[in-house]
Amino acid sequence: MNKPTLQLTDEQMRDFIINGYVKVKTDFPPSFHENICQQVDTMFEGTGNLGNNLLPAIPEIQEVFDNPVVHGAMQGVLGSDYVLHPHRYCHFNQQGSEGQNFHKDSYAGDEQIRRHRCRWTMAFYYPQDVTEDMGPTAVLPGSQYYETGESAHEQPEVALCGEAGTVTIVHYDLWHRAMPNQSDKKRYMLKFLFIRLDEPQAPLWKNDTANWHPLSNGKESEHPELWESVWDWYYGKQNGTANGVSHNEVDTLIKTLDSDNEKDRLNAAYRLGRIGTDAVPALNQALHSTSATIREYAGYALSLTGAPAVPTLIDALQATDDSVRASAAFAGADMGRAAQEALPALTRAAQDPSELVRRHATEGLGLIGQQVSEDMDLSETVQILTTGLSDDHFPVRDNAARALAKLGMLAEPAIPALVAQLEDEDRYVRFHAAVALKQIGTPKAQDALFNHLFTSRWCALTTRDTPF
Amino acid sequence: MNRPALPLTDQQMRDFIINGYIKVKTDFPPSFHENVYEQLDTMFEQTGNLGNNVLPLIPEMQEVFDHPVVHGAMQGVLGSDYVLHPHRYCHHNPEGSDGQGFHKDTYEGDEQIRRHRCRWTMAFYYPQDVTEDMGPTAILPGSQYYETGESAHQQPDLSLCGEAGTVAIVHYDLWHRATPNRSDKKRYMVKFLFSRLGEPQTPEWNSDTVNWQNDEAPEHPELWESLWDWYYGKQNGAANGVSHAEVDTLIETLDSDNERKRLNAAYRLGRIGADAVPVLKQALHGKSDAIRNYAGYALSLTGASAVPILIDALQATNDSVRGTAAYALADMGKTAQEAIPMLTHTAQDASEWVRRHATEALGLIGQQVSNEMDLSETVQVLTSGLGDDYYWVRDNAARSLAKLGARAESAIPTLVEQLEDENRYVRFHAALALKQIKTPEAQDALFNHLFTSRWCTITTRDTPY
Repeated sequence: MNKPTLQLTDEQMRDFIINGYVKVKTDFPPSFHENICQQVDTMFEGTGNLGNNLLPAIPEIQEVFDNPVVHGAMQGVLGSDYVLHPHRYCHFNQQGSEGQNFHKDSYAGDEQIRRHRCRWTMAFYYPQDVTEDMGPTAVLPGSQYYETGESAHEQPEVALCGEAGTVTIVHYDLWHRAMPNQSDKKRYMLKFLFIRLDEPQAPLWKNDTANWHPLSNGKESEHPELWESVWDWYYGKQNGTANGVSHNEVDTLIKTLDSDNEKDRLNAAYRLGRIGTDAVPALNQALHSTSATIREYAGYALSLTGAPAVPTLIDALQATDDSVRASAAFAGADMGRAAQEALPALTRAAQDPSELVRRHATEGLGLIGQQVSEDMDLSETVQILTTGLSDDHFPVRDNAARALAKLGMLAEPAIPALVAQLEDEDRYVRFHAAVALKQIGTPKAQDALFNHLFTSRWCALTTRDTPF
Repeated sequence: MNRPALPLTDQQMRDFIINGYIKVKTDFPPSFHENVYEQLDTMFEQTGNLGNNVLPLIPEMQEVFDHPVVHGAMQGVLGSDYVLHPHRYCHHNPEGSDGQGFHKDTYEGDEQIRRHRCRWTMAFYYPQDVTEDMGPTAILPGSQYYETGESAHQQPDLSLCGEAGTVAIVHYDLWHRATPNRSDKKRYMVKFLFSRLGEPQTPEWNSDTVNWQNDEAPEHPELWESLWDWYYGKQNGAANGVSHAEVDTLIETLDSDNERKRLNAAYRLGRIGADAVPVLKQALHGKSDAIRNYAGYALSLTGASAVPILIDALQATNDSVRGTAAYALADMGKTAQEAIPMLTHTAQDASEWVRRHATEALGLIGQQVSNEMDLSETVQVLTSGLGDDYYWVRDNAARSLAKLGARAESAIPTLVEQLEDENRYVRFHAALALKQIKTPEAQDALFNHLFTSRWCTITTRDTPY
């Protein structure tokens, strides 16, 4: 996408890494948003809420996301190849509504362990001015890294008020809610999802400082090692610098993975992840724990450890316990290129009897496979991913299609299967099969994709009242 | 499009050239058509007829046109890179209807002089069995070349009955109608339009015989042969030994009361070559629009030796003369290469009617000229045409840019803007042009548009995500 962009600053990126959202304002004239509001009104009166078909019905909304300030911010947090996900929804907060409770969204049909590295975002677009009494969306800043409501609710609530044309981009896992609408005006908020396609190589924002440093607002540093690791990831740096933690401290940290306090667990995991080789045996033990929580945090730590943890993860992919294999696949996937040598094992794991293992391994094949050196033979991986397109479980099919999209041209042999999945029973698999064909980019893939897209091309001017 | 195709035979192509239609039958299981039929029912019940949006709503119908027997037939009559036009319509012929009178369709908003060379077709698809009493579509075979109902009605009427999955492909100008539905079953016919992108170079059917042959029907041998030769990519213009006295008679016949005779006279005149040009030129500049029209057919068929007088005629004071000259040159294709500079000028004519024909001509001729020819001014004028006040000039400009392909690269920013033209067909043809231009910039813009416009057919108010 060669659209004009207004890039984020270091300060904005730090803020996003810490707080999980960035708020921008487009500069369309008020008539632009009024037009969208009217069309949304018409949709609710005429057909009811069309859900995901909101965008083809009102394609002007795309211009909001093409606006340089939105596009630039999205590039900063999701990379230049980000994709507008097919799930979108117009949230209608009526006059007098009671609002919602704080929650994280689920991934469509997904139970995936939450990732801290930002590969999914949501964008909340207001087509009208929204004041505090009109039931704005509210967020709990920083809560994207928290699983428990307890930790999340320790954060102060922020109401996202703003004029028409305000767009808030949030980490997918940020806790949020609709506030009560105490006014006599209805409030629309159009939610769109975006996903990352490529792993970061270099900062895609106006970057002056290579190293992490906290915000200049004197705010307490709750998760310095977590935040720094995310910053380094955005920079394309491999992690794993030893941080001089003693053996005694390793034991304490491992114990802390099981703490009642989620914030402590998180910090322990990120501290462990920066020790390197010395922490691997203890983390290996934790990965094989019967406690899902300990496994999960050990997974974050191993993923951050990088290369020295790879053999352990490869072994764990053959554990008898499904959930150990799944945690290993998850950690390997998150590691990216450093896990290159795990690719054959992950290719096998993508055929695991456990659906959870298959889906994580499948995702890993895309995340890692797109970064491996050119001389590595991925033909078997592509073959397994192609088989995954017809898995009984749609999250596996969906991940297979996205993984093939990430492999781009290397996925060429998957074209016929991808064309078949353009008619998958699941709507998201259909879309991701189309994205994969776009990324493969060969004339054959493009022909098939154009055929699909021109067939699916909705004309927003064509209605029952003006059918041709 | 590298889809499997079952090509037509010589006999089928001859039949299409003479009768203007071809009927094929897809081999989907009955459940396929039942599913389409049920979805059409649902559309009528819930939202009413959504017109052009029937395809994104029920995308399975695309499979009908991707079927080897339909795709192969369409390739034969429209060339391998034909385009599914954005106008389509589900014709619901209810129980007890009175049917329609025979008619030709208009081109969407168009008053264009009808072309004999087949650059547009319609396909009629039945998603259920249609028997004679169910109000099938009826046609008048061979009537695609006739302007008058009088001539058309001399042809015997033919009902297009058939099982679910039957597709009739017709020359766009064929006379047709819905017949009365005397049964107690409703009848759907889903009509789709297709348009040609490339001019014929070689036969795109299973051809065994290079020359036209026909022993059965005698009405328009020279018209039919000229079309066969056009499909073959042959340049026309072989003299056929007509005497001077006959030329005079033929010219007079262009004004005959009998449309068939007028047609035959025009096609006979068109094969004489240089000797007929002076009198045809006179006819082109005459007072009668009808005569001018037929002179246009003859001059177009004459080819190279008629080009200079057509270039002159593009500068006539009479709009109708300029329009006809542009039309005749357009139809001629590559032979009219030297007319491109003047047609480029004419595409900025004061008359909207002239602009549209010149604009169309720039695509038809320009796509065939040699690579050394500089088309940058032509592309620039076509790009301006995308902002014309008259939408059919904009529409023709977009289609012409599509035909020029990569050579139209400089039009990309304007084409991207016209993706939001106030006219829905211009929007589509701008998208098509971006597809044909094919540079990464064009493809990025097009994918952005298409992914935005992509309708998910399993997403409804009842299952919104």
